Amino acid sequence: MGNEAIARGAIEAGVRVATAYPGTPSTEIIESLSLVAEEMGIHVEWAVNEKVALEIALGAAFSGVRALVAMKAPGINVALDALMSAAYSGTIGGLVIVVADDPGPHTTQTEQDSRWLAKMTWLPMIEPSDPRDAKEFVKRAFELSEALELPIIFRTTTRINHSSANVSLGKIMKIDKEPFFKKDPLRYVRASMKGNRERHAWLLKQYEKARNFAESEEFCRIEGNPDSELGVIVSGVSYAYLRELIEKYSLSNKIAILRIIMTNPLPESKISEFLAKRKRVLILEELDPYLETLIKKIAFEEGLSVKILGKESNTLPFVGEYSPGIVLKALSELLGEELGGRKLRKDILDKAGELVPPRTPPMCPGCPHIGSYMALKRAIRELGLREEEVVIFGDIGCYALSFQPPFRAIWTEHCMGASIGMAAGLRHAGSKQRAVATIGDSTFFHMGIQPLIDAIQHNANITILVLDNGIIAMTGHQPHPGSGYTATGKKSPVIKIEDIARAAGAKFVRVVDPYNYEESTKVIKEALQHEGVSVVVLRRLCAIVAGRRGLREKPYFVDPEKCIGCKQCIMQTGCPAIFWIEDAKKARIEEELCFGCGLCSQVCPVNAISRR
Amino acid sequence: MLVEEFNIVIAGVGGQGGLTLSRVIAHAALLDKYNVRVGETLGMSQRGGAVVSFVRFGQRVFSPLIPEGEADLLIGLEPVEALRNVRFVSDKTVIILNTYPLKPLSVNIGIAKYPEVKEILDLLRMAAKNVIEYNFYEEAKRLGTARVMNIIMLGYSIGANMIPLSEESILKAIKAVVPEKYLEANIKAFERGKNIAKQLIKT
Repeated sequence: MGNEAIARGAIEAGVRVATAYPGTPSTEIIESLSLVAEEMGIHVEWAVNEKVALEIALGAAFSGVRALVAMKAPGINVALDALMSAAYSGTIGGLVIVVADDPGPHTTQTEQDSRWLAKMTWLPMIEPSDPRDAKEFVKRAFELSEALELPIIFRTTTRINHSSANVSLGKIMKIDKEPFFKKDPLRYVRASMKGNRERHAWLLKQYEKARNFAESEEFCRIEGNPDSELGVIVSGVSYAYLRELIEKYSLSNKIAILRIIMTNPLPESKISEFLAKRKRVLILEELDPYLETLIKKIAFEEGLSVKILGKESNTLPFVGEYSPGIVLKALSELLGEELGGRKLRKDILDKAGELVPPRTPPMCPGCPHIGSYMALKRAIRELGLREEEVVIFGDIGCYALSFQPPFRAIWTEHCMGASIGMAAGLRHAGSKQRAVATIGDSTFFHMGIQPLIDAIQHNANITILVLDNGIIAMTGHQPHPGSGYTATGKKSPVIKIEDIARAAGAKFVRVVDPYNYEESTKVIKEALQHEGVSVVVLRRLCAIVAGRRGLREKPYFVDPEKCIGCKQCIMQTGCPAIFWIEDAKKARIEEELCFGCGLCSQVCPVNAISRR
Repeated sequence: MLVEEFNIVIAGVGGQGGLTLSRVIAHAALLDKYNVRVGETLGMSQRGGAVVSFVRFGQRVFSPLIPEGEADLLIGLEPVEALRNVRFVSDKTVIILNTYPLKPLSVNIGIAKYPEVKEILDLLRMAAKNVIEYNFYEEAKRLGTARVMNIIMLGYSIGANMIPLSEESILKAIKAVVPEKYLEANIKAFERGKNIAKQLIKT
């Protein structure tokens, strides 16, 4: 897998510190490293958030060792404050910042194009096209970082992180350097404005040096027919699609190709030479027209009248990820001839589109969040409140799936920790609506503590439900400060959410088991009636992890004699282990899927559901 | 002899073992000295969501995605999921389909309808070169757990010569990918799949 290849590249480069907050599609980089951390003598950790992760890597790199930090696209926004200053300080040991963008998007809140942040920070950026590239260029990124004394942004997209390919293993570098941070306040202290101006000039000077690498054959390659009037400028995974189509349709003598691997700074001379020889040039890049914008600037400065095809010419889409089919269509436009491709039956595709029901991921059987939202909705009903009178702010995590039917619970989901601040904001605006924030345990540690403190200071009348399933579930069960162990499996202190809430001054703090429907409802009702900030921690281990630890209970079954077909068990829990049998008009539990949480049995009005 | 390009689409529901299946096939292709690409989307699909993965091997393979219509084999672990990915199917595609439906939550709570399996089969037959249908789910249940259904279908595909990879490599790959404690059940499932293929081909 691409992420494993990046991890391997870092190991071969002799990385000493590697850290991240988990985020799809970047998670497996640190996860892979955690498996060999002890053996290789690497400090590998899941940090509380991306900013902290970057600062840990930066502190290590100041002492001269090589360090890597990985994040999904929104993560680099969280880390951006640290990144801006890091560009001014620069680094001593190689520092590689992997940022994984998600065209599609498959699992990210926006289709953010993080390449602009390389422009903003003036940091060099490298983009691989496949896992093999990824491994080799990560190694080079460490070397470049040391040569330029700058952190390197290593930008990937989902189809690189999560695709697999043949990769050959290289030698592992042994670096025996004593880590030592040499004091140099003019460089590392941002308090002197004169110093900051000097460092700004220094950064621009280093950036100029990076151009030599950008223009080199290693980071900027010409392929195909260099004399053709038609050209393609390409970077990232689009190169893999292009390469395959070039072979398949024998296009290598019809098109000149400029493949750009270092995308900040751009190889401006190479680009300008390339443009000068072409009449039409197609730009292949996913997400924003980043290359397209910058290449048009070069064409303008050189006074070239080459026709640029890309997103702004409506040749390629701004939204969603590219595919071989999309690239094929763009190539056809460049060549002015139909390249074909397989004929699909439109009638079949249309009919299939009509017939196929949606299948978005539901919350798992036994998921404790099911119990939490059931209790919240019941508490609202029992207090005689209408749905629109209680605004439920959501946050990032599996529990965001509660926006779907049958729950239709959360009203918002923006970014890590946003639920609490937004809930407070609604109250400060003077709305008569109640405000509830639902936030996961790891999201709370990531960015939920500060808004909690803010809400307490300003006495916001809000209820915070922390859905504590003991682990970072959605990204594949990484530990957090409340889990009691680290990325490498070492025991660590269990930091309790209720202790933090109490220390911050919350007067109403309760802990309850979301499998206990009655008790959870009662506590949430009290919390909703409390004046000021109320915090309820709904604590129960993620069912998938519990299952793996052998904590699965005996399954439940529906007695068809007693079942009256009211569907309450399905409509209230949304549990994917319960199926509706249309012919019999009864519910049935698939026992192989059932986790044995018993929530369905607590809502059955005729006691038709019992444990096997 | 090595083939130039072979494209497999695996369509199913999170938890059915589609990702394990793609990893086994990819590993076997590596052992058979192929250039291999696997495209997966991970995260949010651990349980119960629609999941599709691509395995490609051959001399000329670079992209992790399969172009539309270019599947040589579609392994449909669930009928609706096979149909959801019909854009990868053309008259060169062979489909192997488990006919046992897993109804999504949207159907259970009554906001969507699950089509008749016959309707799905009719459409797939119109689109593909050949469709092999069988209740592999029942077969897996007979072996004790629905979790081995993926490997039964792999056994069938190898038994019916639907994948140009050696049985020896597939078995080695199963041993490399499947955790030790589930290995025996999976080897049994693989043999069961092969036998079903033999029986069906005879009749």
